[in-house]
Amino acid sequence: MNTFTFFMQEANSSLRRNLSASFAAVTAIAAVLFLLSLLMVVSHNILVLAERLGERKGLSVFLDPDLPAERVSELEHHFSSFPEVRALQVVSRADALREIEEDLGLENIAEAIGENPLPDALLILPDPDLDDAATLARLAGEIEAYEGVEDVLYGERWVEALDRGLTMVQRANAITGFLAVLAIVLVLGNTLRLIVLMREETLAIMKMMGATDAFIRSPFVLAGVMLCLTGAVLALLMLYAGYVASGYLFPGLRFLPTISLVTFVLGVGVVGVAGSLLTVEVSIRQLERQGGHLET
Amino acid sequence: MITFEKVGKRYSEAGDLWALEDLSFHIESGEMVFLLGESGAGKSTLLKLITLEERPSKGKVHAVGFDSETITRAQVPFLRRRCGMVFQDFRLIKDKTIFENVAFCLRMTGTLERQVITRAVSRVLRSVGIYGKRNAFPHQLSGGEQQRAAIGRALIHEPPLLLADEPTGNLDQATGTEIMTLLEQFHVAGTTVIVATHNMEFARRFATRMITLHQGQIAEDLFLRPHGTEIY
Repeated sequence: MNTFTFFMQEANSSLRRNLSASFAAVTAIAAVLFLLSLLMVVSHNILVLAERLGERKGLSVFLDPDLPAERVSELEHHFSSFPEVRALQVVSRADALREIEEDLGLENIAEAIGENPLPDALLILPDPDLDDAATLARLAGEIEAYEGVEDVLYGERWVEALDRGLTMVQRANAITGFLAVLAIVLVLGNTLRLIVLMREETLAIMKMMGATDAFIRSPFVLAGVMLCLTGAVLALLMLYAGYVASGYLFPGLRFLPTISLVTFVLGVGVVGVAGSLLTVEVSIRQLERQGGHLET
Repeated sequence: MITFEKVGKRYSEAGDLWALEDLSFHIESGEMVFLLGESGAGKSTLLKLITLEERPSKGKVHAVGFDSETITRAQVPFLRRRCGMVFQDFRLIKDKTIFENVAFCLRMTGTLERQVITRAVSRVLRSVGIYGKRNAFPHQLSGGEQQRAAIGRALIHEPPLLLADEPTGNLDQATGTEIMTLLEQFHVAGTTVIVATHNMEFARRFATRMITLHQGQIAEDLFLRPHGTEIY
């Protein structure tokens, strides 16, 4: 038997001795984590949607109709070197006219009105990491200032709305995550404190016999982590059951990707370790200060 | 083994009363010392100062290679492993068997091999005469048997020092005598033993030295016989 197995046995034994408190803690943690994971699913689906919309983000740079081909080529190469630009496509006035004719089902528009009224244009696809509303606005302004550029369009309203929506989702996630961590630490705190109190006499004996602080605390920290991980697994099982059950209502709904699930469980584990360390340390120090069995 | 240098202990919550005042003495390795005195004389406080359950308010305690002025919190467990401790109320873990109670002490100091634990625990339980009750829980044993188990637990690390705080306080005279005889056997085998007790009869019979405390000070320090000599 190694030290870890020994600590696991002690942690398990502590939890079983306080079965009702342990059950209440797991239920409360699972409920909090279920709400958090539900929000994660909603956020994930919004982000997927936003990513699809983001693929449509782009700047249309309309050039002076009289601009010589050399200048067009010069601007094309210059704008391609911008860090915000992922790809750049030149749409000549002839190509643009052909597209319009195809879209409208007409032929020979140029002949009908005497000349091709369309300018040459550059279609710029921004880098996905640099395509927020502020960056696009700055880029559009910068490009518009170049000689030979007549106008730059990038659909600023929907880009800004999309950015606002994403910011709100991120804030909601951060606030819910913070509240979830707080709730877990409080639930853990109460449960572990109860377990520590019930084991006070044993802890005093262990100290008297020469157990180190780490030896005394480790089983409680493991117990806290076990409570958290059990809560996390239960929350994800409930979430998956809900996802499967609601499949016919939201056929396009996506479940959390594996990396998010692993991160979620690991994150809960980390909160469990930190929360347990904190609460066990506080509980034991309090008992030591109060005297009684745990005087030192 | 143990040196007290002008040690004082004051409890602020007890109205700044000095439980022990200006105590200086030295205990050699191999002694069997009885601490005597009425309740509140400071016997238990003195034992707690040795294991650093309490820190001295002034002066310095040197015990089993550790110094109260320089020892860190992390070193205290290692001091306690060198001091076996026995109490009036036995302090066995109620939901563990006698074997598990003793084995637990080995496990918590890093001995985790089943065979090593079984061998060591069996040996110590035999030496205190309670091997046959190894699978019993504390509440299934008599007071004398529980105290034997507690002594076995205290000796599992083979400490050079054994501290007993009223070890016969909950036992009748005959059982108390058995326990004292057991402590004496370990003393004769080389363990330094310090017993805090009210029982003058046991002190006269088993002590090599008697230190009598009165109101936190040494009233009498009497050497009765050389270390380890039998008196009968």
